[in-house]
Amino acid sequence: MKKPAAMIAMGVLSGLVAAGCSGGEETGQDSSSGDTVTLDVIWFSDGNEGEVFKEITEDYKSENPNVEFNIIETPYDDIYNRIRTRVSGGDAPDLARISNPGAVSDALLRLDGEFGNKEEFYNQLKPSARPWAEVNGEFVAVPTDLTAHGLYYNKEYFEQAGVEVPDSTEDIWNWSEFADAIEKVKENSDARMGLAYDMSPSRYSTLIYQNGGRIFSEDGQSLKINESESVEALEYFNELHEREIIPQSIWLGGENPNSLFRSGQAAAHLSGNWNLQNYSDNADFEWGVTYMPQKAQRSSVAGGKQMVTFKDSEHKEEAVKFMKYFISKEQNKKYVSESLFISPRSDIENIEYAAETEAMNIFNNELSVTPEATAEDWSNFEYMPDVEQKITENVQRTLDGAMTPQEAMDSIVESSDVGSE
Amino acid sequence: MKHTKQQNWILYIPLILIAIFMLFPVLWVVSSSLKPSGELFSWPPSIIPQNFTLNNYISAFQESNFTRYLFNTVFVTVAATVLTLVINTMAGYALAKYRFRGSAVILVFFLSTLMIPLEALMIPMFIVLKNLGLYNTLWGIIIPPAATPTGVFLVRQYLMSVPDEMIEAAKIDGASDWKIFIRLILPLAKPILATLTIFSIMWRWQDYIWPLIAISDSNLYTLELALANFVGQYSVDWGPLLAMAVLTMVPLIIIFLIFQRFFIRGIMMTGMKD
Repeated sequence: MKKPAAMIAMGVLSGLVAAGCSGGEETGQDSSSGDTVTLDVIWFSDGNEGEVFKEITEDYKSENPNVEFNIIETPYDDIYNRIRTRVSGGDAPDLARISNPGAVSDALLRLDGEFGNKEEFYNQLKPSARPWAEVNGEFVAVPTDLTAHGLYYNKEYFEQAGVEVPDSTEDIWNWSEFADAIEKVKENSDARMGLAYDMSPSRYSTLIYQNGGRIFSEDGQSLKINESESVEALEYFNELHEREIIPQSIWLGGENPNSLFRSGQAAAHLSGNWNLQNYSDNADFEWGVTYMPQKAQRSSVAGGKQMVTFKDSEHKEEAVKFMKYFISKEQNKKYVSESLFISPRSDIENIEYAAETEAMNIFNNELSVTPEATAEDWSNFEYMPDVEQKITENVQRTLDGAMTPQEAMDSIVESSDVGSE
Repeated sequence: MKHTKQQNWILYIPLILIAIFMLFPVLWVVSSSLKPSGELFSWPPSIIPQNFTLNNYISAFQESNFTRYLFNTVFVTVAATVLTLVINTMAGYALAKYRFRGSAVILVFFLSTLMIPLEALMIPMFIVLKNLGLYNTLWGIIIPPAATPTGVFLVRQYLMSVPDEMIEAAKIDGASDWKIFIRLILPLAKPILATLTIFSIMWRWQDYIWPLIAISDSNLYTLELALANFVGQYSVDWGPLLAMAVLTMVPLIIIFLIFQRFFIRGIMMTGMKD
């Protein structure tokens, strides 16, 4: 009785072993046949950009039949985990899409020589894209798309309340007009809440720039966040919360602003162009994008994604060759117009987007008036990771009444070690 | 009789309430997976979908290679569980019943590996995996975590309670070590093996960080890896994510129902021994 059972167990086990081996062979990781090169690409997606990228690689393959792509879809939160493990384990990928070259800078291949003249390449980029290409003065990343912050609003609620949004750059709200407008919509429409404001230090910093301030000094070696411009920005942000224009539940309760707007609870949403696809597919009411308010100046905040290759990549040459193709005017135009992104190239203008062109034009306009300080601050890879966390914490302390805006901003400066080296 | 029935009800009512409370997130996932994406975040939230749809399931199947992932996951789970059971029972038995020099040290050594988080071991483990040629194969996710210290410890503690006299008696009757292990120990260890089986299935089914590191070919992804890919930097593709989460949950529930009998008996038996 017992023996047959053991035999079956052994049989199952050896069957499994055989199946496992065949599974491994099928996927044979390396291409030893002829001169074919397989590029390992670590990729993450927010919307359909993965599919657009795949189409571009298909086009590339038809022109370069010796190249294959192995696109490794990775959740955004684990991108650097995966890259670091592979690089340290001696199996660096060939290409990766990232949003922060500073996180893995020591492993990245310097592109200075590879892209010909560095300045020549930089000249093709918008000013707000350039800082993302460099870490410590080294050109290591190719900016592939830019993001900008902007304002979504629920058309139905604004109509109900009889509030008009600025329809050109001529009649942009100032801060107090903006607060009054949202307050009026909230009180005179079916909206449960006024403005859903993303809980993110980057989104928060929009106010600092609009007020003419900045986070770091120009050389990035000291903090300017406790100067009067930023303190006023926090006072304004606090006022918006006290007047319940922004619901406290987001910054103090972790509620998802995206779903507040999408479900028709909030009258407006301060976020970025990455939500366009989502709203265009999922929001079942009339919505639009309009200009963000201004104080001392207009400003959005520039962010973006980059493509990189690694010092230890097996197929560096092919990887660089593909990066050049991917950032070329023609391919980048296809990539950004189909994924609803902002192009990092300065020579791509008046793009006809696959959808929401009008909204994308506003985001493009927001970015065009954005001071370079924003990209400089946010690409301060050495200190920003620490400072951005402190911004969130101290803004929260102000909102819950534990600190005054000045104390909160001073506390960021006191507790940080920016420029101490 | 009547009295006990009333007592039962006093016990049942809070139990039912707690059960509903515990089940709510699961029910919410199931109900949300049947809603169109516009309704997912609607206010006020609806427990029963207003516009019932299977679209999320359809797009989960279309957008991802679901059957492939399911096969990978089942294969990994079954193979790893068989391996885990074999290794852990043998190791647990040896550590419980064989007196040899250094057995205590080995046990402590085993347990101490529980105290090092995987994050710290990831890179060294990756290098070993790669040099063994197991990188990017399903065996790479099956073998390394098979000898789990928790499992060894569970089995050892359980087998400690088997009286030495029984083993000695078998020895006097001329049984070999293997025979004792297979004929005597394994049948006695059934409850703990059932427990370990359920644990192992759960661990492997839900394992995420190790497969993430060990697999780079999307044809070899497990369900958990595929699930995580619905999450981007700024946005989450909720509809298909929820649908796939439901489909991922179902096999586990079935397995639990099958093994439940053993599981509960296992707990009772360990309880009685004390």
